[in-house]
Amino acid sequence: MSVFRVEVRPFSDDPAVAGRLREAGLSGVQSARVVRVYVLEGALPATDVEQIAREALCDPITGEFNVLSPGSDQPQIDDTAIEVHPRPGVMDPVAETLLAELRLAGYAIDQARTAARYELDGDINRESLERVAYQTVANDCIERVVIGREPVAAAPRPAAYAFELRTVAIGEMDDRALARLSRDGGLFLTIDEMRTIQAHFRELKRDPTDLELETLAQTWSEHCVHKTLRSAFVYRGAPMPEPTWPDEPADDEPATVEIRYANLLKDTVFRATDELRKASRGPELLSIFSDNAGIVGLNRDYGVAFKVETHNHPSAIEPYGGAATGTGGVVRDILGCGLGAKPIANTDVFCVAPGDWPRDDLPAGVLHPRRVLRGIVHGVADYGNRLGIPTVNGAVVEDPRYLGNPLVFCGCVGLIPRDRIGKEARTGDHIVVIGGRTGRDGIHGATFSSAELTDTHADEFSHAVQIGNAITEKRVLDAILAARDAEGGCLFSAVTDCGAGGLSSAIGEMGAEVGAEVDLEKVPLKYVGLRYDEVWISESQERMVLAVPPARLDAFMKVMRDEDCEAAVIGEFGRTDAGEARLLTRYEGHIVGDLSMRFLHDGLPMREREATWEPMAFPSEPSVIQSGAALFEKLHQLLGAPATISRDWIIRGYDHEVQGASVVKPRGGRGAGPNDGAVIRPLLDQDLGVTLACGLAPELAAIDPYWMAANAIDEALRNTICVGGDPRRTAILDNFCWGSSADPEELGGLVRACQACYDFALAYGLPFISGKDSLNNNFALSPEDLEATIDQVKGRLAVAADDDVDMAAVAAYVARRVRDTGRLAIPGTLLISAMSAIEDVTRVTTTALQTPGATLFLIGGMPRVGFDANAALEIHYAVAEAIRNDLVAACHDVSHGGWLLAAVEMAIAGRRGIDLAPDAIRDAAPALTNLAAGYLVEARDSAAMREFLDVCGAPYVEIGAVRDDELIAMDYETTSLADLDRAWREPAPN
Amino acid sequence: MTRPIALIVRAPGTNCEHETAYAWERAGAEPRIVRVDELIAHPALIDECDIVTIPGGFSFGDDLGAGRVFALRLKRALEDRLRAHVEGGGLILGICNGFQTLAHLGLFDAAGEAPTFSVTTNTPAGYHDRWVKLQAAPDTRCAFLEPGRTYLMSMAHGEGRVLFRDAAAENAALRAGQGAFRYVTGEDFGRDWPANPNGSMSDLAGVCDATGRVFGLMPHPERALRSSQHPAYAGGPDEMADGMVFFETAVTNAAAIAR
Repeated sequence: MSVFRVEVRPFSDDPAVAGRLREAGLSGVQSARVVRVYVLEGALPATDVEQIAREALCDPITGEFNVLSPGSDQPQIDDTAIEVHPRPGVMDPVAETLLAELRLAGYAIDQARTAARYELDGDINRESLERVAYQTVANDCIERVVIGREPVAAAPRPAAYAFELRTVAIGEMDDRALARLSRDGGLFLTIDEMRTIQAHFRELKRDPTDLELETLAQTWSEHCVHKTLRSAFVYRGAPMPEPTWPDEPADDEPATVEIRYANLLKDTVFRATDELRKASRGPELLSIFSDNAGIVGLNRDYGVAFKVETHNHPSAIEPYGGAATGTGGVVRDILGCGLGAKPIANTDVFCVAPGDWPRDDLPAGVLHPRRVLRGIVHGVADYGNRLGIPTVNGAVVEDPRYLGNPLVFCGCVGLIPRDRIGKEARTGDHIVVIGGRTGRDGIHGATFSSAELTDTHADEFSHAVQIGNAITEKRVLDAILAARDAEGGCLFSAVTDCGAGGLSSAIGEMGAEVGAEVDLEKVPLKYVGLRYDEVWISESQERMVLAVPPARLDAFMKVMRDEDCEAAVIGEFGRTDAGEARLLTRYEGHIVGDLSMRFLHDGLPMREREATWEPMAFPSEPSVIQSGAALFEKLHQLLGAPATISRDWIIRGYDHEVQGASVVKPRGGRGAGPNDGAVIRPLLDQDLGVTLACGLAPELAAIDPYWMAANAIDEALRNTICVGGDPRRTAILDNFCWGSSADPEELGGLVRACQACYDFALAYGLPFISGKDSLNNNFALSPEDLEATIDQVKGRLAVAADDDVDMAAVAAYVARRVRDTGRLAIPGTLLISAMSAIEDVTRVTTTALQTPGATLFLIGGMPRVGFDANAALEIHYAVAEAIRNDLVAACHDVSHGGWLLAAVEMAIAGRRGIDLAPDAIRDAAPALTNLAAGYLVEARDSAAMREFLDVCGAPYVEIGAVRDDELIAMDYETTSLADLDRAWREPAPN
Repeated sequence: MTRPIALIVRAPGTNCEHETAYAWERAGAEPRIVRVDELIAHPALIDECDIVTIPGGFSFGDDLGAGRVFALRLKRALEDRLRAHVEGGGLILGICNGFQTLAHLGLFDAAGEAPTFSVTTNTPAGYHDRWVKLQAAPDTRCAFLEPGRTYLMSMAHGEGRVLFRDAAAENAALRAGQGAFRYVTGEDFGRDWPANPNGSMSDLAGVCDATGRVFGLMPHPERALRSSQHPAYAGGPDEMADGMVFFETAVTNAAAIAR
């Protein structure tokens, strides 16, 4: 056995890496060269290695290589090179591809590893090299840094695993011991839940195995079961607004009310959908809340599925891997929806802290926000692009409260034949796991993501974080769709993704009715040494579980082989004991777990939660802007503000055109301006379309989470309508990201947001079809970081303003909360994603101004707090109707920066200027204020538009006309569109 | 006239095969999607087709360089067969990842010669999705292009820079008429963007071999078949666009070769 190290050295430097190192404190770095390192082990002669390097590793036009072996002369030894090696067990996709290819080509190769080596030139400060490396090019939780050159040596082999059954003596434990077990074992169960488990096993007169305890912890985790939102609530606080009865007198209203919910989610979000369905309002619902994704009807043959996931906690400690596996996870949700939907579009929304946070004021355990954003963007791009799914819609929100808990929302839309929606694992079906192998990565992801983050989490939970391998998932994707569409019918009877909780959750869920038995030694492993319980709960990426009828197994396995997708039969569905479904797990014939499915799925004790709320801040008076130069200056400032600045570098890093189906893209018009949503054509030979859009308004959370949620829904609907979506056929998804699930004040806000979801979904006729929540988005600050963090948060909140929110009051409130609790909590954040099926993509609209001389109408527009839902809906319907009647040449919703900024964005998109009517600034709604139910529209024919709006009774103001040049003009003063455009586009960070 | 057969070869990570098949079909060819291992097992499929297409994507994750592993597989098993296909008058098209694959495979140069150029990381670095304006060389032999015509197409890649070994290799290729397709100015897709999106030498977006029958390009003609795919589309009539002309030209030329 020999070991070789191949270094492939490019001829050119990487200026971006050098820039990042300088920025992080290595100011003397002049240049950096990124050398790819491959370590090969096997019975290989040196001549083979030379040939491998030439054939597969080095491109002679771009670089050169050298081969090192143990004891060979090692050239260019220096101590200013940084090497970054993946830690043992971390996914190394390049090594996997290389190994497979070399074996196929007949080389006697056993192992391959890769590393990146950064060779630096300049005046290098050796003392800070390692620290800077971990801040820039390496992440401690998945990678290790070597300064200089790592000696060429074989990798240590993991020890083989010898079976040993482990039980946990829970029977005699007191509460303190139970609490310690929950905490130290990473179970994150409450004392009530631990006591319930104890009682269950006392009744059985035995102790649980470690695997049984883990299975319960996974299945009962917040992440898997959403126990907070499904709890009973008693709300005590300010009365709920009544936006559908706004004219009722409010004088005799009590200051506080008490409202009870038996199951918060069922009584609000689900209930709205139920009532709409009974009233036959909204789109045709094919599957809601029961599967991995919601499905609505598209045409006679197809439905479209939509799911949005959060992947916050992993992204906080490993942004690239966390966001990539978030994308991978939601794509598997779509693949595991029904009998498999074909992913046709991705969405992404990120909430992050400002990128210019001073490094010295960063609390321990927190990655710099700029690094977080760069990492998550690259993670989503690398994964989504490789899968060939266009990323077509998204948003970025910046707020200092996301410092410790950045939010990453990943969505996926799938196309599914109507006859592939029903699924059921049947007794006798084989349990087949396909795709990636199982390793020690991703253990405790589900429980970890349900917990609060602290300054030591990155160390304690590094094993919960993973790197994905998109091509393995692409194989899974191709294989599932091929098996679904096999001649003679679908080759499997059920499928689900193997995500949080790993096999334990996937099989526990699929076999909930019929039971299941699993032989864990049959699960393909990445390496030896895994214990049976690790195999069971590992969340290794890119795996799916299917139920395959015995008669179809051969055909199924052939499809898997053809698509180069590994598959293994690991058990069988159908296991009952005295008529009760069981979840039986064995390892090499020994029983290692035998749980009642009923206890697993229904045994979780639920308790009533207290929720309180009182208003903390109030809406403020919108600012009044004078005409002329002051206005233009304000415009420039707003265009460059975090809420509005164009993140072209993000959008264009995604492939939004693959599959050839994008009609309305994130950037449109001759000037590449912002579109409000996306439209795709899911079937290339038809004109049917699907619109996608989103809305969120976390800046309103401190005023009232009720209005935060209402405005998220309103914005999602506005964005849908602006691209030509049909408000009567629109479905929505909820993603709640909230603070502590144990804090009644936080929960009070959550209840109000849920109530708004019910009120507005019902008023607007928008059924929820799927949702997901992420709680405990708190960061426990270490005491020495508290004051610096408060100063930063407070200072940044006070300026990061929408002018209808009194941010000074919000800042004071947040500072008080952080000081009282020692925790930085995110603002309650609800993302609403909206999807609408449309008949004809040739009837879409975009934001780009079209025709010089055309009149611009501001239609609707109401203050965001306290608006009337019915009046708002009339405006939404009027605009949608105007678009359907072909009265509209361009359309944009009024949001951050108000209608004036919307006008400028339309001008940028169309590369056409605007003559602003001075009267409009005085007479219309405040020009720079975010509004509900507000639209800016270019009319094809102004007389026809006026007549239409008068008939509808929709309020409107004519605010100006399209020019034939690139100037924005008002009162004989002008500003150039080119300058505004440049102020708007953020340069790519290095 | 019989419909030419367009073989579309996919590998794990290929992701543009369906829209490419759709484009061939609309242009009048008969598309057949085949896996690379299937093709290696049944190389006669190459002889039975008129056009071999390697579509876009991230074959094998591009883990060893864009198109590298795909090229290795083809080189080991099918290089001779592919060269014979071209000699017999057949066409070969590589789009995006397919272009990168053909470049590593060396099909733009004579058998046994080291590749004279590589398709490598963009300058400035980074993946970029945008539209570009392109022009076919006025005297091109390329079977996929109308000489002198300009085209608007979508592009999305991080490794699309055509980099020749040296200036001599560049000049020789240009003299041999291999510089078939270039990025040109004249369309405003984004203010301040350079016409050449990736720093390609001689602004090359696509390169053909000496016969004009092997062609690789970074932009995606299959994403530019109709006006509704254009970023400035704002609703209205959905008309035929430049990508359609691209595929139709190839179908006409493949039929004319009439093997």
